[in-house]
Amino acid sequence: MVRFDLPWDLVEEILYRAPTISLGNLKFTCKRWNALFKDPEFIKKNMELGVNQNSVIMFNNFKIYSLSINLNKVHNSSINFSRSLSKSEQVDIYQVFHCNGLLLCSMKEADKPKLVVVNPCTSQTRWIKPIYHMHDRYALGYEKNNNKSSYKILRFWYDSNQLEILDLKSNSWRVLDDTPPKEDLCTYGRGVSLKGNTYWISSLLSKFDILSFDFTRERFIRLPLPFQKLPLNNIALSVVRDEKLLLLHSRSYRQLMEIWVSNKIDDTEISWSKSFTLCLRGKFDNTFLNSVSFLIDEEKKVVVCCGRNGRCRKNMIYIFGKHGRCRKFDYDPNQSNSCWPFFFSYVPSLVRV
Amino acid sequence: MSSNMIMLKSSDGASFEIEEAAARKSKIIANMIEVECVDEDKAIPLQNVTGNILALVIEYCNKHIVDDDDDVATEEASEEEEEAKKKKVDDWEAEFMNSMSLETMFELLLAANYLNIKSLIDLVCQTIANNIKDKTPEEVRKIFSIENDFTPEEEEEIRKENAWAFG
Repeated sequence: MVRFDLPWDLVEEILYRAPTISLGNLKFTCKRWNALFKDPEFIKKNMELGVNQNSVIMFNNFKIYSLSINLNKVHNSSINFSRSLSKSEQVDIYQVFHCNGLLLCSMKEADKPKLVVVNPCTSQTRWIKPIYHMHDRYALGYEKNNNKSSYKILRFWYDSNQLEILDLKSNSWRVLDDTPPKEDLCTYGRGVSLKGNTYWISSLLSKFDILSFDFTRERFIRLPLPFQKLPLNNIALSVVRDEKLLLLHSRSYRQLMEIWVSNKIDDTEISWSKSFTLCLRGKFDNTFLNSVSFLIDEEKKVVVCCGRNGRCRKNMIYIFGKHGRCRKFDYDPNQSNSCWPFFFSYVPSLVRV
Repeated sequence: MSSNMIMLKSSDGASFEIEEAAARKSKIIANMIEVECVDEDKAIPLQNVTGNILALVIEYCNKHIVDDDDDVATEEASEEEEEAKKKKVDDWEAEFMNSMSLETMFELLLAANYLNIKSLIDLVCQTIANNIKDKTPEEVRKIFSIENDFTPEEEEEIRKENAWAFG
């Protein structure tokens, strides 16, 4: 159709602007394009110029899905499991941890436990060895060092308070020097990753705060929540655009759900401001068991929650809006009792491990 | 606003009159005006641009010169006004590109590159990028006149590596 050979620099200018997620397909065009997409300079440019839509990844029934949520109006909202991570169809995944477009998956293949870091956008995988126990918990983060990120994995042993860390450059585990006492590491719910570090809600002697692991200095720090009282009902962390921590706090006896957002986080300090409060008006028929995951649309003041409902014991997605509006999705008829779902927002990235 | 008019002549001999301020969107023409003291009666010949493409370039430049002037005049415009204005430009650009075939886009990109109009290069590249994002490798090769240099084995190898993709 087109008879014009574009100079290579113009081809590059076009590809810098292609949505990152489309490059997985475009790399089949020719060898030169395939090589270009691995070039660090290209990766930087594409991150800057590529139009990337935030998408949602969901972990459900031991599989990983890409999820689209239409939030136009709460009563018209819809969810759609668009695509599954194809390899995950053949294996059972037990844990997923997301950091900067990379997924750390703990899984079982042919009855063998395996640990892998996957970039679902480029399909690059990095197998991690060895793994000790299926129920070990992991967090993926990175050290910030002169613009170069070097990825690390933190491992909590299942039955001991010894912590191990693996630097992906060396690919060997070592024991963390400075390990806090086990009771200090009692976390509530899943950890979230923000700018390379991991944050958990922590409950220590009925006092709730935030426990953070700094992957650069390899140490734990504790940060306060915006309220001092024991949170009743649901409390959960989330992240917005890899910029800010979000905190959900719902008190069902008052039928309120509060969303807090962090303004500034450093080694010793965190400051919070309340983003918005939703009145639930009895729509939230019971609280989620253990941890809930959530996403928000700050402009529309909408919260989307995903978890195991405590009353009907089902995996559910709820969309809450202003004026008590609520939509429930009992999305999964074949849900497993042993796998609790969660989701997180995901920005496709070309980062290599 | 300066109302100096200059003449541009396309490779196929068509002549266009354009305000100097608009023509200066092209770094090449701006340079010619400054260094070579363009004769007002003589058209600037543009060897690499045909008339139909030059007409599009001029349409783009005319539209954007007004915007640039506005920027100076309304420095204290409120954020909302700024946003509304930006939306107007975005809408115009979307409409402008929407009417074009891929083939015309490529020609326009080459012209914008030759004339060195940065913002037009950005706009056309972005539009082409959006256009190819959902196309098959086969279609993309056709558009860019690229030969498939993967052997079936190499392609298979990459597909195997692709096992962990959404699809």
